[in-house]
Amino acid sequence: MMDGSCSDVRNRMIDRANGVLPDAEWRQVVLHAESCKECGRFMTELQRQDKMLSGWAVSTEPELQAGLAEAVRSLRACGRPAGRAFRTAAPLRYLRQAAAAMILVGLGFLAGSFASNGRQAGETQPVATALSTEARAQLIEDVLGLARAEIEQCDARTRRQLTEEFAGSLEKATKDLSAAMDRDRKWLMTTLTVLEGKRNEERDSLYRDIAKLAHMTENEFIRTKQYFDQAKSSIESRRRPNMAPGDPAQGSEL
Amino acid sequence: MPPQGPDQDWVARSRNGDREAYEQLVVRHYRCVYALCLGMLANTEEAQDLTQETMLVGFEKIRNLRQDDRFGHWILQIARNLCIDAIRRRKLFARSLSLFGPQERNSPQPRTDVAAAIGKLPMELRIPIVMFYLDGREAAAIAERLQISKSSLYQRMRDARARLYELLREDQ
Repeated sequence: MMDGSCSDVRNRMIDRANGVLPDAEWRQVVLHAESCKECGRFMTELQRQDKMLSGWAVSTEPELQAGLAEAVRSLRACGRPAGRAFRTAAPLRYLRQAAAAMILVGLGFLAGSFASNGRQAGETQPVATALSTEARAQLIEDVLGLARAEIEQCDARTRRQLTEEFAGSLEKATKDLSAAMDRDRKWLMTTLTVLEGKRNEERDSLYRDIAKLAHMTENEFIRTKQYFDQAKSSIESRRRPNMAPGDPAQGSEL
Repeated sequence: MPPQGPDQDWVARSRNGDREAYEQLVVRHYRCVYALCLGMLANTEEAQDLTQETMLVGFEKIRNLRQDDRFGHWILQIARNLCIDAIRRRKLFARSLSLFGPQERNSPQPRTDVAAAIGKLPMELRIPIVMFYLDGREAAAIAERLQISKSSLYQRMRDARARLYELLREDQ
């Protein structure tokens, strides 16, 4: 039953647009709209928007049909468990991007650590010199292995792009080693501060998440994290003698 | 034109590995699954991927479907779970990027004002309105598919429409 107020009439216009208002009530709404300028304007605008939304729905139709055709074609073509005949799902693209980002940062970090060998005394101590030679070699191997495996799995275009980014990043790190080192140290400190700010169980879950993103097993990630931990304690032990108590400038980098 | 007849026959045959029978189910339910995915994700490309993924998972798991006449609900549930996973991964991805410091990301822009406005709706309002326009404009059928009461669906659609009105109005 209509109460005849403009607000009620407009709600009924919306109901009509949603296909749930019977014709009999709609006639009353139209009568009201003819005598009320504001409601008439509201109805016109609602009808305009309904057309726009219908147009938008029609514009998605070719994609929908193409997707359906592809799904059917793939279903016909694929042996079910043997391979992924369907398109790579979007989430994997996110994972790849994240893994690539992690790898690139890792490379920068390593490049920074190599640069440290020629550094003058008194300059900022590089992070990765805290690692043993074996640990560093292992870390390099792990990161490069991951990068290669990641690049191999991508399609040709992404592979080319990743290779370029990979080369570009390496070149940049080589050109500006101290900048790379500072950036990576900051990243490392930020990451570790975030991790340590979490409760233990949250941290475990975060490890698992990051490991997934990097396409690593959790153990591989924890091993990598241990390298980072070693580096961090080394940084902190070097900082401690110069740190003024209560100096906010020496606090978290977050 | 989607195939006629009840789902049950196609489901029974699909369960025995009949790919052609499953194709019929894909044709029949693709639109609805796509509409749900688009409603949840507000991104056509991701929705497309997830719809295809849903159909593949459906074929792999159809042996687990106990009630043949519930295929429609069952496949939507698979889609919903996959979309929730995708949304979690988005958040995880954003969180991991934030660990690497500020990033300049080229996020895909919606192609139209309408798509952008729909994308601004909260998910619980977006799903019914997208399903309405993409899947036959039958509010009662959407309520049944989403397994919510008609009154609840009507209210959500009313709210969605009211918000869209403000977002899309010509005179603003």
